[in-house]
Amino acid sequence: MNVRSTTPPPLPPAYVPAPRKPERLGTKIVMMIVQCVVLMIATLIVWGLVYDRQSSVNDVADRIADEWGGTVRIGGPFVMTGDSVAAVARALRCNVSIESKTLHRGIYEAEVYDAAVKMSGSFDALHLPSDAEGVMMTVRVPARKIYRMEPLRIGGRTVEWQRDGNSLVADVGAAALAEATDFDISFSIHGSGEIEVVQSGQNTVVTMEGEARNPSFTGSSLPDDRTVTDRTFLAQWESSSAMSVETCNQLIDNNDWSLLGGAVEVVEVVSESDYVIVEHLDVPVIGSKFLVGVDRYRKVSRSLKFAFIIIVLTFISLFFTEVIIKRPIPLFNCFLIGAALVMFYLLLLSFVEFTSFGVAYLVASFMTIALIGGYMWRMLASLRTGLTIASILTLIYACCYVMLCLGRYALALGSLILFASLAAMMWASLKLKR
Amino acid sequence: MDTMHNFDGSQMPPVPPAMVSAPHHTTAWLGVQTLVIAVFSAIMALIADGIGDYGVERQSQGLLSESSSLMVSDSASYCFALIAISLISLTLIEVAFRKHTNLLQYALIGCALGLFYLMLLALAEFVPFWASYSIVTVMTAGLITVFVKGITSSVKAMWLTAGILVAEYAVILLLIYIGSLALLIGSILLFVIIALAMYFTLRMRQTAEGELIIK
Repeated sequence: MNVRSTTPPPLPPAYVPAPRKPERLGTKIVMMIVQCVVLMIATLIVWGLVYDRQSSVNDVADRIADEWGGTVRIGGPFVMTGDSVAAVARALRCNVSIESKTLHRGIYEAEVYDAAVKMSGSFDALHLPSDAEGVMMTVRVPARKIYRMEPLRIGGRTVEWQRDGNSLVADVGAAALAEATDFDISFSIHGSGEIEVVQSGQNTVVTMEGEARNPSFTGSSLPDDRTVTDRTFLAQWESSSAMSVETCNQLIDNNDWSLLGGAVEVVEVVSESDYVIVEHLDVPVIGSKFLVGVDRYRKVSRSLKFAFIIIVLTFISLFFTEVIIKRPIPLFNCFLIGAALVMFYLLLLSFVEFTSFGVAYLVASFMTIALIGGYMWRMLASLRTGLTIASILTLIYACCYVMLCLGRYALALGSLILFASLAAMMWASLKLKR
Repeated sequence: MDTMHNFDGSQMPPVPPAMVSAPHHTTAWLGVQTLVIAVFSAIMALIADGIGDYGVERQSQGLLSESSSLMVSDSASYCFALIAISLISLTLIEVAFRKHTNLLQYALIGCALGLFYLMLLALAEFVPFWASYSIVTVMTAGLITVFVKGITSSVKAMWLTAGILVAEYAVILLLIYIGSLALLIGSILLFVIIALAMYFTLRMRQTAEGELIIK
């Protein structure tokens, strides 16, 4: 039998893919939680970066501020004979008016102040030998940083000041003090960080006023009166028999003359509260502290606290989108969306160095929302889904911004938002069954 | 299988089983690949950080200038992003050119990228930083490019790799030198890279067998 077969050889067996298991929702949820954890680690890295930038920028701000003028401590006036104090003022009224300004250098900036100091008061009659040499009126203050000065007016006379290191000295002569005299002192000085006044009269009233961001009051006593508004503040301290000639001379003998005023070495006191009370202070001194560096990094690190909730809410809405649209969103795509959410904080951090926090937040959130919305649109080929996700994200970011700015209502608003999102999730999960 | 007959009736040997390979580049493969790359980059980043610290030690021995030592540790801080981006783009090249690469080859490329920092440190002791950076970049990029040519045997893939590597190293050198603007430019670049990655995931399609292809 010799039949010629015309049948072609059979085709090789084609690769038959194993039937794909339908994706189980449980596995997907677990994987999304794992991704959340990974993204939170990335957020922690960004937080570390914020901390680094903050400390390096504040270092530069301190350096800029030091060149302008450091902490100022004002003490006096004292009447000196030779090296010892002969009298302190009977009544002293000291009025310090602060005007803060911002110095810029590149992306760095520092908050400094100009202080206009006016002191007035009276001395009791002081009986010194009329031929006593070197009877001086001294005000302890870092004289180098004074930029405007009026001559001392004492008992109707004017005497020119002389700068001498950490004091202003005026040669008044013994005769001028023979009976009770009034005096008037007025000068303006550059400084930063802190201004302190030594309560150096027998009865002293110190008033500090001006504009400054978030001042805190420090020293051996708290202000008796204070008014702090958004930009301005006013504080007043009163004291009686706080300072005596003996205390001053004791300080001079102990070589602690600098405690009575001049340039002060800054000792960092980190405190959570607005009030810092330095205990066991030898000298009755009161003062105000101001922030030198920028505080916008603090807002960035505060906004980082909402990162977890933003990521979780976004992932939940992705999950429900997937279930409602009935098209799978691959896990890798989910991860990219999460990465974009973390990138938001990096963008926020880098923009905040150039503009205000609000503008930086607006630009960074717009970029992130546009990217994620566009991605969802192209991925699911549905403009409606893209817009929905974009509007959900806009809502979340807007709520977070409101929570950042309204410190007082943050908790109430935050819990209400969580409640609303829980309700939305319940509603969506009812749709799952259909 | 039916026995087949030749034209003159004699029996033919049976047809050998067809060699249709199972899909290699699947979604699961991509996931594992990404995970391995992330872990590997993290390990290399730790090692690069150690190399940066070693640079400080060499500086204290007077062998390295202070600015060079700072720049070496600055460049080491970009290690994670550099290795992750290089290896991910290699993965994309592999998918686009339909070539199989195994994890050992990825590890070798990652090691070459990590060795970059050691060579940078060693050379910076003798020549200025920018010169040592350029020499080491040419060496590393050249080695990896030739290796990729060997793996994929495709000239186009080779040039693509070379371009990506040189661009990355140039951007990092720029970021090291501009200082205060580095964070802004760096974060915008990362944003663009995430956008690019999103774009590639949209271009990626699955065939009926589950094989990923980039159109």
